[in-house]
Amino acid sequence: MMRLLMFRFFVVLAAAAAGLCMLSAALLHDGLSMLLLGSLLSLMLSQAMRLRAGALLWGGLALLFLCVLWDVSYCMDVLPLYAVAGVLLGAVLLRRLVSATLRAYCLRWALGLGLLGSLLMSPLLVQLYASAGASRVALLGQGAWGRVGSHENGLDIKSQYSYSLLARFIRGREIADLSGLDAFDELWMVTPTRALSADDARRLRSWVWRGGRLVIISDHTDLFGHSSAINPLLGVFGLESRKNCIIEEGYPGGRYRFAGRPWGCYLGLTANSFAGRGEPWLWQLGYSERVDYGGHSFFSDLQVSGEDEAGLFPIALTSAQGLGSVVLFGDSTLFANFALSRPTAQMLLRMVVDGGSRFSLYAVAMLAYSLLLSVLLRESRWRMLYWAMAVMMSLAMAVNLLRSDREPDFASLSLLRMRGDWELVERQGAHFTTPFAAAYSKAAAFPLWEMTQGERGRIVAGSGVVLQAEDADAERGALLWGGDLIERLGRGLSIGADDYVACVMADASSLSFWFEDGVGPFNEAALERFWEGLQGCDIVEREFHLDDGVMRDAVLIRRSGEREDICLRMHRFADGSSWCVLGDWVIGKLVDENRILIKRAWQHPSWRGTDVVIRLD
Amino acid sequence: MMYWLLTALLFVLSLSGAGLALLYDGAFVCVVMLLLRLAFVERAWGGLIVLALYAVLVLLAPSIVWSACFIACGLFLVGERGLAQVFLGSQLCVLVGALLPLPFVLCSPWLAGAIFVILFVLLRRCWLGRLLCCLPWLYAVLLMIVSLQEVLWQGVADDESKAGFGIGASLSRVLGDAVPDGGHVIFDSPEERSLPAAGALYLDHDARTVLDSGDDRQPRPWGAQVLIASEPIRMAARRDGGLVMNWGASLLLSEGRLLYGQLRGLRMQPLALLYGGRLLLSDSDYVVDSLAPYQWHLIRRMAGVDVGFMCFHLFASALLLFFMVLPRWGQLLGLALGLLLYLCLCYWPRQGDVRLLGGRYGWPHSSLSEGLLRRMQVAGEMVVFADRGARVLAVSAGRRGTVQESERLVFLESGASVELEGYCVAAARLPLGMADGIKDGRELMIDGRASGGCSWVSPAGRVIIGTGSPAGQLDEVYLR
Repeated sequence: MMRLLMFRFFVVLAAAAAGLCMLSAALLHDGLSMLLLGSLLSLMLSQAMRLRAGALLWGGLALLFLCVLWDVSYCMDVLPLYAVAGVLLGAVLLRRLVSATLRAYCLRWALGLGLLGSLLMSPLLVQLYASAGASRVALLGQGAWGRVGSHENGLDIKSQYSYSLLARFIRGREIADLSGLDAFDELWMVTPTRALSADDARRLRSWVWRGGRLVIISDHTDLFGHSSAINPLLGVFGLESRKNCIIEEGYPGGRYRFAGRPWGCYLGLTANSFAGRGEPWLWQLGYSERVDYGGHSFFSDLQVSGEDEAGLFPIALTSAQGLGSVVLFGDSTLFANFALSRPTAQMLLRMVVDGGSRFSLYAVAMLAYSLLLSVLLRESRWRMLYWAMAVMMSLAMAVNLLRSDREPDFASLSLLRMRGDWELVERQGAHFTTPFAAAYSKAAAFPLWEMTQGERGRIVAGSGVVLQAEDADAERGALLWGGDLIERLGRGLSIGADDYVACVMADASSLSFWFEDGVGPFNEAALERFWEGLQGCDIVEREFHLDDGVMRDAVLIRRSGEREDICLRMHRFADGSSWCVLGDWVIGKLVDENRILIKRAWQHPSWRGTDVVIRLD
Repeated sequence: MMYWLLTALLFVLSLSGAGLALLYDGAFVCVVMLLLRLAFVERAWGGLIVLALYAVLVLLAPSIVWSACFIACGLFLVGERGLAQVFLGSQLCVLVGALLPLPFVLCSPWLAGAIFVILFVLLRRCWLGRLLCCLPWLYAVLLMIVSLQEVLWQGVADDESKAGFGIGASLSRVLGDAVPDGGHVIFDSPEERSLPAAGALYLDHDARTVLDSGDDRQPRPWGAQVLIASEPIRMAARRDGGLVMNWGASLLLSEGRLLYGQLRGLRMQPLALLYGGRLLLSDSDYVVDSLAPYQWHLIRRMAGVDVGFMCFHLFASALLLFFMVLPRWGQLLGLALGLLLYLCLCYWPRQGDVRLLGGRYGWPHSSLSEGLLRRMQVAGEMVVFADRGARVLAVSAGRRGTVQESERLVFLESGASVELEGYCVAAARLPLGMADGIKDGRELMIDGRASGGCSWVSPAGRVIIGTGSPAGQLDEVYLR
């Protein structure tokens, strides 16, 4: 009785593990793995499980019919459902065509093959192997994107999208080519836009097979051709970076699931997905939007529509290759300077540095197959071998779960410990998202988060300062500048500079964290003040000496080319800066003697207009 | 066991899949499979053949899944007469709601579910169960009346609307007859507006009238929702691939006749009503010139000008009316004829302007071939989709086609190819950015040789363009 119960438990465990591995392979479009795992499942269903042939047949036909209907009616990835239908129908065929003795014999062999296959697929052993050795990390710069070089550390797009912080945290040494690769254990490539030669790809493959770890960080929509550049290299490893972008209704950057937090999710910044032979550890449920090479940032319309493929998409995976591994992660933006202050980015960076998730489905499958084989072969002398394998596998899984992390080197910077509600600094439009995006430039100490979420609605800094969402709500919207621009340009200043900066700070949640053209002197002062306050330092008041202003006649030129004669009040800085304030707090910059540029990014968040140019008469 | 499973699935269908197309399809497929299984168990070969035909038809013309009539006929065929009566009884709500100015709650699918349960309980009571036999007849008669129902579409006289955003010209093209003016589009009102005394009302976001309670956004892709409507209307919308609607007015309803609505979670959201004989739409999207061709079937069905489909619905009603008195061979023949008629109507070639090969997503804002129509409408051309007689052919990525005599302009997406005047012209997959004045251009290969450009004029004067975004920012000169 006990043996029968044990047998049934192992059968269910093995079938569940094989089923999940098959679904994972189907979602990765890995045809060979899907076929092998499907065959194994069909054999298990036909031989070891007492299911009625009629139920299998009609269930399989119904599922097949549904798959075809959904395939012709909607744009969705139904391959996993096809796989399940195939398993059910395969089980029926095996029952009808193959004798029970032959099926029992085949099942043992299939389980043995499954064991071998899972051993090759699971990143468990390579993770253990890599954790034992040293880690010398190289960063290969290939192309014009994903730069780690010097920048001005200002609030502009070049500094914001630099990966200099990432390079520092992973202790990466930038290399120009692969000639000295053998001196390193790990190679990172961030959105390379220049393809490697076939020779270099082969060389990299042999380096990985000898125990190297290749980490490739990609992003959405083949931006600047990076997926096109890395796919020939990934092809060598049986992998592919898909040229898509995964979007989700209500979450512009998407929510990533499962890794480390089975019931939670991470807010991302728009990823692409992967295909091929590997074990995914981060998923996104959403819609795959195609690349539109004619669109802004190669995005299509960035909204859920009938042309987007619905499904569950792998956006990070680890592929075991010989003694080494390839780790893919599909959201490079999270690792850019401005996003690394987010708790999600820090959590996911830890996981990438550690080689992916420690939980391996293929390892569980291996354990389940070994246990089942040891019961099935109870008369054979091989039985003990499978028991031993099961014990070793369990030990390896336990060691891998309990071993210490390979951590990014956050300590290379002075740190400000943070804990609290992650959403307040990650959700678009949340209270502190933009101030935290400015941390790389404005914070004297890098904000390092505890890896568990704290109380909702508040953030506590290591300095003892507490940020409350409710307090921020109460302060918001103290002063708003709406109405007619022309009329506003003609007015005088309604408040002083300090009050204006405080006002920007109160409404900082509405400031954009895409610092394309800088944020202007006043917004910058507000963000500086935020970080000084959070670190518990004395707030250094920046003094803005503005003159009393003079009335000037000018022509306002809108983006559409429309021109309008106006009369404005212009305040200049005493230090002769090219910045100026027009009318009632419209921030402008003199680009030459009689032309002033007014950009939305420099204004108080209540600004609703577009960029304009003013020509002084 | 099978009986209870079938009952549960019919209950899900009676709730119209709770507004989710995938759920509706799933329940429907299971019903068909169970009916097939029952026919197989009974060795009813005729029934088996007809139901298998039904299964094939579903894959060729998926809109048939919305026909309650044919599900009921299938149930009758395999001997589940009681379940057929209960199911049709539950579907009476939407038919009644389309005909009578009853409170809106009567059209709710939740009421349909409640009716299903009540009738199912009655069915088990011998003497009360007999009363249910009149329900199919009632359904058939009401379906006949609803199929003959017509809605008066009206254009909007507005000289200031931007190209592609007028209402009337494109409706006329879709309906094949001039649409009279007299309608009103109401949106972006700063304060509450009084309603015009007469004419169709096309509401939109920020309409602020006494008939709406604010704005309403459609949360899912246009093709993934189930319309709560009589079967002719929901089948028509499914033939279009979905309902063009994103951001409109949230209609209030205390009176009026429901044309169609949608489920938003557990809440019913009316989208089109007959309000005192006037058409009232919650969103003007699909009546505007640039989008009307995408809602071809629904517009024509509501106007009652699609004679073929109207005949089909009348035939289906008649079949249901007489189904129980027909001999078995008559039932089988009637059902098979109905299904074949529907298939023929769905595949009947349409005369028009733009032929698409592959790639129908029901998404006009796409920069792929499907968005071409919207682009051409905005450029001032009143065009519709076509199966023959078109002047523009657009071939989706990776597809292969042949150019018809009338087609003068051909768009090839990435990897697509056509046979033309003895040449094989294909578009390469490598994106070239702006090339030959064509955005997202793809080099054309003629008989396997690179042409060095993204556009080519054939010896007979046909223009072929290789681009990944046919509806992108292409020079309008090409579209005229």
